[in-house]
Amino acid sequence: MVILAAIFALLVVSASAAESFSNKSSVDCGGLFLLHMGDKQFSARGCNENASIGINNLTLYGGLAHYRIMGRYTDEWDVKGVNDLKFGNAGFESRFKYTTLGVDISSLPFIRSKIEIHHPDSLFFFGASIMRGEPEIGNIRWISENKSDLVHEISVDWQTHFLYRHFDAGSKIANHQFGIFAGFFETSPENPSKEYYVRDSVQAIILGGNYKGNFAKDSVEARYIFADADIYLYGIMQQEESRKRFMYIPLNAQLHFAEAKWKRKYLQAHLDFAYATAQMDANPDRFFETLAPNRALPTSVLKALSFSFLKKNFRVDADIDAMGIFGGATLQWPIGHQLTFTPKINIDGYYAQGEADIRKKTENTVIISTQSYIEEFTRKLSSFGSVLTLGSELSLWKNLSIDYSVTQLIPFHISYREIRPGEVKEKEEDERSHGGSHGPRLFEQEKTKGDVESTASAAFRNGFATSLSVVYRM
Amino acid sequence: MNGFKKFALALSCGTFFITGCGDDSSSANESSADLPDTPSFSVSSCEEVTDPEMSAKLEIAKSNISEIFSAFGDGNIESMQAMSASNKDVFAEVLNKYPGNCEAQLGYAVSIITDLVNNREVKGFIDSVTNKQKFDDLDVEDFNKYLINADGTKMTDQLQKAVASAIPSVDSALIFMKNVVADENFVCHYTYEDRTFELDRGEFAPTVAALYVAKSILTMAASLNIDFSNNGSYDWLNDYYENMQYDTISSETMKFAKNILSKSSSFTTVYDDWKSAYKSIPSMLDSAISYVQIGLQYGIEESKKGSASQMNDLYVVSDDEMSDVSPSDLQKAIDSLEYYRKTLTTGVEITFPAGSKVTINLGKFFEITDGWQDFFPYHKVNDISTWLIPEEGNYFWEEGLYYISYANRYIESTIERTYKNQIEDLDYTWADIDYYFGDTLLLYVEVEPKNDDYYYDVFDIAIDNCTISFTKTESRYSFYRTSEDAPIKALDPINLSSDFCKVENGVTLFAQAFDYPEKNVITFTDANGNKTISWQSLESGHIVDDKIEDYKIDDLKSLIIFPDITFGGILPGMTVDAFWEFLKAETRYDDETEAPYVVDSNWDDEDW
Repeated sequence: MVILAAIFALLVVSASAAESFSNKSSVDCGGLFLLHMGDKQFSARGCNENASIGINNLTLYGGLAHYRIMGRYTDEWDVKGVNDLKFGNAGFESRFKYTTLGVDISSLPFIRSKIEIHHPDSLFFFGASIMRGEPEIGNIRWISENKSDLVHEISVDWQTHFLYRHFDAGSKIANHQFGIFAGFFETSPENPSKEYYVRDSVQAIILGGNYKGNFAKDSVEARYIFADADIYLYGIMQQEESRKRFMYIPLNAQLHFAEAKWKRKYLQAHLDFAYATAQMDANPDRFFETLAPNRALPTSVLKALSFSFLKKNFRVDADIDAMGIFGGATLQWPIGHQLTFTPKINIDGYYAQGEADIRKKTENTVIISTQSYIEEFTRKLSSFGSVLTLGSELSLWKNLSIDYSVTQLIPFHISYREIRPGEVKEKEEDERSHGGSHGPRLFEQEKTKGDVESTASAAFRNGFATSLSVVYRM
Repeated sequence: MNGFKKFALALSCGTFFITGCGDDSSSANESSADLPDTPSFSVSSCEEVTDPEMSAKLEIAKSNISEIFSAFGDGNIESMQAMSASNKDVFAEVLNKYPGNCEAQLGYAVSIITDLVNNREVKGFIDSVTNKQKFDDLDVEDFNKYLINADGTKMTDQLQKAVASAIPSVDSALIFMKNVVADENFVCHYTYEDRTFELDRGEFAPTVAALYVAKSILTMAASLNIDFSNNGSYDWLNDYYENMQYDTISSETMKFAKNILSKSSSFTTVYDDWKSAYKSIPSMLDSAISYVQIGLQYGIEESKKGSASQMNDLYVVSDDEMSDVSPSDLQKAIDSLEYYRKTLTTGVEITFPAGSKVTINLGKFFEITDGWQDFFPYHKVNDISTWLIPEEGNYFWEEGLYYISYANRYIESTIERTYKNQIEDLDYTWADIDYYFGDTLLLYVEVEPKNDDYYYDVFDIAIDNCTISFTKTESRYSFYRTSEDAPIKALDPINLSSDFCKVENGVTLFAQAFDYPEKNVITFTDANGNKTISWQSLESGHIVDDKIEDYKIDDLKSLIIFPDITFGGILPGMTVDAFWEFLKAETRYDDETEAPYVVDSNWDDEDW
């Protein structure tokens, strides 16, 4: 990151020697507090600062960013994910008569190079870019609720090594712009020098098209994206020369995303639709168990004997469907000229639903005798509500602008249910206030889990986002 | 009361070597079980079965083994008994013709163990335990019914005889299995649910180890005097459970309880004729370690041949990702076992979670044959009449009757005793003094008659100097259901002694505990019998700089004194200071490691 900062400083110094240049600096900070409940938490916070300099047809840019994304999910095991990213990036883009060239380097690490061939008046264009990176996805910890479990905690690091090739082509005829693109994403499995890690092998294709029309008073935009991915995740424990696979997750996922936008002066509206499916098929073969905790045990006599006398494996099939519709409008009305104050209001409505059919097979093997238990259940999530954003932008002589907004998710309905057909469970005995106890009570098979708290104080901890941005142009 | 019955069965079935009592009259020379003869026979090395008919029988018998284990897993003992007997015969038949066939030897060894369910003594014990279920179904609450058989034999004796009779079977299985292990090249192929398994020395040797461990446990169970009857009767146990709550345990029961805790008691001593076998347990465990090492070493040797030859093994040894365990893991396990083997002889230094290092010599544990009571801290059992009385230094005087008042617990205990004496067929009663909305003092008595629903009696409490009187009243809460048929309409006043109550300047003061009025059951002493601290004081805590504080581990060093801090050499070189420092470090570590779950609730507020 220090090297990147030095490169950018060098570019800036070189550029300042040029006769004329335009300069833009910005600082953005934001936070999203999506969930804060006993068994589920998700939040993200981040800041980034960027600066760019335009000299004739050359644009130089660089930035520093710090993000912290955290998630937690409790379901028999407590799964925690943390990604604490501090990175810098620098790059340039140079536009010539028939070509545009660009390079972007990030300390993630990540590098992107781009070449675009176009007609001088943009009647048509064809572009290709290639990206390669090795970003850290983060650290994931599984913590068993039972401290005395043989494997109480597994903490793995996950770094991906990806290559992304992107091709796009388009045409601009009068006020209409059409484009199509294709992207090919793949990761190469690599083994880092860590004790526990996740290794991925992903192949994905992304196809899409877009249209943009500019008319007298209105502009419209439409986009469609399709993605199909084959994802294989391997959990590995590595000690000296030995590597052992304790997790194998094969996923096949598809996404359809469509978006339409309309804009007239200070009013804009949009409608988005997304539909995603994912399938995970348990592999019955040896060494392809979804989870094989024995192999993740630290070295011990117990580990050595456990494969013969007490082996536990899990194989999971899952079928996931999810869809969401998100639409709304933004209205802003600038007041003033040199000093502009622009209040903004955005109201969106959403509907989302998802369903996961899960079949979990637990295998306990003692010598040659295997006892299998199968749990089949469905988890359903549905929600509708609105998202309200209030914000304002203050611009001073077009050079400095300060933008602040707060967003609150206002769910009218949230339902998260687990359905276990045909299964009747006993609830824990509840104690009478003094002495004695009632007998066990049966309860409904269908139970509602993890509803969002309805108290006022919970509002700022669930579905709340805020953002502050300062931009300076010269 | 079901809990009592389960406890009784547990005493006889499982926890025999840590629970129970014996009486003074039982002699250490008195043995419950005869020392079994150790079988001795030679077995031929491995040879093939050439007769197709025998070969087919062998395969069927092999597949039956998993059915037998399955029946055992399902708790179907009868089915297991029948299958096991016939299967053992098949293996015997093959062995008659091919005495050197290792598959038959292996099968026969396994059958010997599964066939233990057909052993006369074991079968008798299983039947006895099964029969006891009827008492549970009938809600019988007499420990004599549970722990003494119809023919007058004690369950503990029957258990020890069954255990002793199983030892020769384990010995026979050991002879066969050790012979199987001796042939490095012998493997047994086994097809189960469409998958072929290859069992080899990697499994056989740890199985021998498991048999040695089983023999050690059986020997220990048969060797120790676990007779906790009082001259063949468990009336003391009935008395204890029925009257403990009311502080009316008979003096005879108290005397018996004191006796079994005394050094002269034969309870937990080793029977004379079993002493030699008991002292050989470390040698058995040493053999177990050796056989585990042999099994692990075999895995390392297998890994040198590559993974392909291990694909039917229960585990694949290799450094590759498509394997279960690495050779270096197995080597480390072997080295670790070699290190810990010394715990059985000279002792080794063990590092505990908080980093404390303690040398442990487990071998010395098996040299203790005169009872574990010798190592209890110096103590004496207090007279039951003094249990509820506050001891000087454990209380302060203050107005008000609260749950921390010694008088409170005394009154509740007295009332419970009154109910027990006055209500026939009482199953359970429980009294509680509580404030209603902070000002009205009420007494709630929960009454559970046998075979009837529970109800509450509620009384207003009046305090007149140190006389507490009760007036029956209505329940203030709907869930405290009262009964119009309740037989007790009034309670006599209770005059509190000066131990609990005094009047100063017209104000009634009660002796209040620092924490909770604990029953003062035992008192710790020094070697000369001089009191160091009572149980009540220990639980109450003490005043330091005008603040009530719990006793810390540093304080206990001079209050709880062990006759031998090395515990018979199990902790060689241990000193009093080092012992308490060890406890302090490890208990503190336990407390600290609980903390993350508390921190987690705000974990995303960490500084970023």
